[in-house]
Amino acid sequence: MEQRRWLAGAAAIAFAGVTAVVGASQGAPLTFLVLDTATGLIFIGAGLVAWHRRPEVATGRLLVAAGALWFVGSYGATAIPPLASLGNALASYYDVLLAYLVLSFPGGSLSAAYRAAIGAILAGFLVRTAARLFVLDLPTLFPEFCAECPPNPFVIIPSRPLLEVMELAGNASITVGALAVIALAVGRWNGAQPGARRVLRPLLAAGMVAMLAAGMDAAETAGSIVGVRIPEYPPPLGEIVGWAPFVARTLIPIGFLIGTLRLHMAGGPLATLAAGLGTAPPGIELETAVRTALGDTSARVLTYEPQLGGWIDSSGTAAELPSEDSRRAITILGSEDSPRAAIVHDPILREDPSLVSAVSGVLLLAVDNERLTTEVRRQLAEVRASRSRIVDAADSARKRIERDLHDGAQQRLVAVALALQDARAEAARAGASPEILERLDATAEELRAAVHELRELARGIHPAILTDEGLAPALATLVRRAPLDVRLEIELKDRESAAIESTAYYIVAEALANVARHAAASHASVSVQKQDGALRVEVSDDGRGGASTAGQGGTGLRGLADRVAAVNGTVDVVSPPAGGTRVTAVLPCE
Amino acid sequence: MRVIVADDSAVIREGVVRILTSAGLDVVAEARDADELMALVGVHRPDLVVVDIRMPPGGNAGLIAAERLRDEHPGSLGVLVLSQYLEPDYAMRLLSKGTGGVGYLLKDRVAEVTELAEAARRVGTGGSAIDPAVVDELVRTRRHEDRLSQLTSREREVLGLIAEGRSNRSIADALDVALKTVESVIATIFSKLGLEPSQDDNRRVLAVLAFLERRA
Repeated sequence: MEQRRWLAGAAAIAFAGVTAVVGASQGAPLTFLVLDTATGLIFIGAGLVAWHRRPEVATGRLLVAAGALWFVGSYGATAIPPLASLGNALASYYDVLLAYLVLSFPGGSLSAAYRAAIGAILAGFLVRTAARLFVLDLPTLFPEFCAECPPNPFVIIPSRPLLEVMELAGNASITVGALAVIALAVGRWNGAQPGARRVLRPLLAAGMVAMLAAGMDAAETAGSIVGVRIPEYPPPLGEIVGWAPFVARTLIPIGFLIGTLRLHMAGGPLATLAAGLGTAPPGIELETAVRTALGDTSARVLTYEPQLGGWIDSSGTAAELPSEDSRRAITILGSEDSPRAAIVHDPILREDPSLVSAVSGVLLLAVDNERLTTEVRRQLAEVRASRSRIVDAADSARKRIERDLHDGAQQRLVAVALALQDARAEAARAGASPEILERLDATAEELRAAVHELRELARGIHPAILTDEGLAPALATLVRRAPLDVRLEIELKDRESAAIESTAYYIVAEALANVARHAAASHASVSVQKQDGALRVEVSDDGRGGASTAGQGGTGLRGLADRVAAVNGTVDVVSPPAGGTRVTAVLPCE
Repeated sequence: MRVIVADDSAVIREGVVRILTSAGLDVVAEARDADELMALVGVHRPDLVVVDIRMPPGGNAGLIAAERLRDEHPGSLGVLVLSQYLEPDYAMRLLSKGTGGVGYLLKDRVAEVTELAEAARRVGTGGSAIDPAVVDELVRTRRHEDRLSQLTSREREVLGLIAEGRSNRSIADALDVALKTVESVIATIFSKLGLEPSQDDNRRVLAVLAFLERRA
């Protein structure tokens, strides 16, 4: 197909060139040559563009043919007999093609009315051609002013009355047909669907003007035969009227080009479409954006929901995929068996397949993006909830252990101490030896140590005072027990949730433990503040630095990272070598 | 001295009752939970209440009951709290509610008969008794404490005994020195620390503990 296009284009342009040369050799004025050639080339150029864009439709080929026919007519002015006769006879057939184009664009079939109108024009042309080819011989029939005109080698019946009848009939038919086309074109103008208007209207306008020119031309000829002479227009009006046909016909391909360019220019809104789609869910906003991008306000966007096994429209209600017809085209995105979205639009948009495909591409991105985002959000929420549950479970377990130790083991040991005390008293009363008494005392001491250890253990697992009284007293104890000087700054008005408080506590505990173990520092400070709805915990020291969440020093802090993440907080360690260490945690409170 | 003992553990309760009784105090009633305690206090009007910090109905019911009793009977009822938590904060809470008649002992102290009896007597007669281990937490830490660095070790020892709630006589006995010596040491301590000297034992306990507990 491409080859054919190149060939046809080359041939047409060559023909144009030849015609120009012939015209120049025959003495045609330069302005005429330039305009004539330019007009024809515009036809050919527009035709080639259309052919390239939509090879499956006749539009392009029609325009190229019209361009070629344009140049055929130019030969009528030459002095070479066969060419002149042919040129005269076949002049203006491009009008038929143009009429067909204007009425059928973008490539649908024509209704009876359209066919009748074009048929009338065609019939008129055929009769006229027959007359000019087989009946008209200028030197024979019009010796009074055309004795030196080139003779017609094809003439069969040189008869003036016959000529007049045929010309009259032919031109009348053309005039009627042209008027009918204009009327039908007006109808099309009014009935154009929103998506089609942008392309159609320039073309229709140009077509109507051209038809008007053709009709007037034919009418004039017919009238002159019947004896109705249209008065000469005084210059400069006469000049304008003389040039009008040229301009009019040139308008058609220009109109067509403008129309399709406008389609193409819609690419501008594409950028807006793409930008806006980052956040727009498949819905009304998206549909509006697509409509703007396509320039088709009747366009609809449907998305396919695999769970429902059906389509939904932009408002989220279930919808059926419509069938294609003359008013609607469907572009489906995705594959046959797993469609993702569909755009229902005016068929005229097929004139610019790259536009539709670009919009489709962006739309598909949006649809997929939305789906993925929803899925990711859902999974993230699940992960967060799960993490939170795990941390809460761990905390509850610790509190339970502490309570069990307190109520169970510790209490029991105290009871044992009491019993031991009783036993010692008894033994002393009963006159036991000093060694026995000493052994009992030693045992009591061991017991005391055990109670002490158990107490420390319980507090290490979970300090009861943190639950009962909150962060301030719990941190005060931590700070007090640290083996170095620690400054504590804490000003909290209210208590926070258990999860936040225990996370803050463990961060400080772990950080201080690291300071004691690794930092070789002389001073440290702990600060806890509430800022912008979040608890800000900072532990800094003036020690060795070089701490990180990697390496042995860091395992404790790393282990806290999950707990911190479970409350949606952040923890971060800044520790330049020999520059001290600062651990900062930000825990958002509700 | 009339005493009510409150603890949900029968073993502890019986042990405490036995020790107090053998030390000559009159245990007029026993309670198993906070509500029972409040009711019994209303009925018997004792001089001293010995209460476990953690009792039913739950959590810190014992501590809360102790505070309520302090509020309702200021000056006429001594409250000695038994706790397994070595948290000076709890002691401070009790002390800050007013003067006199407050004690905070660690539970395992109950096995030390003389300590318990002495503490009970002190608190029942309007004095204070803070467990030495708690005081230890505040005073005698390994950490180099700037605030206390200006005190000699002897002075620090005396400070600890003050914080326990002991009277000057009691301190003198514990250190085996003359009363006058103790008094002059105490005066030195207070002036070094910039604290108001006070004749009231309870106030000075509070003052010392507050000084020690103060978070810079």
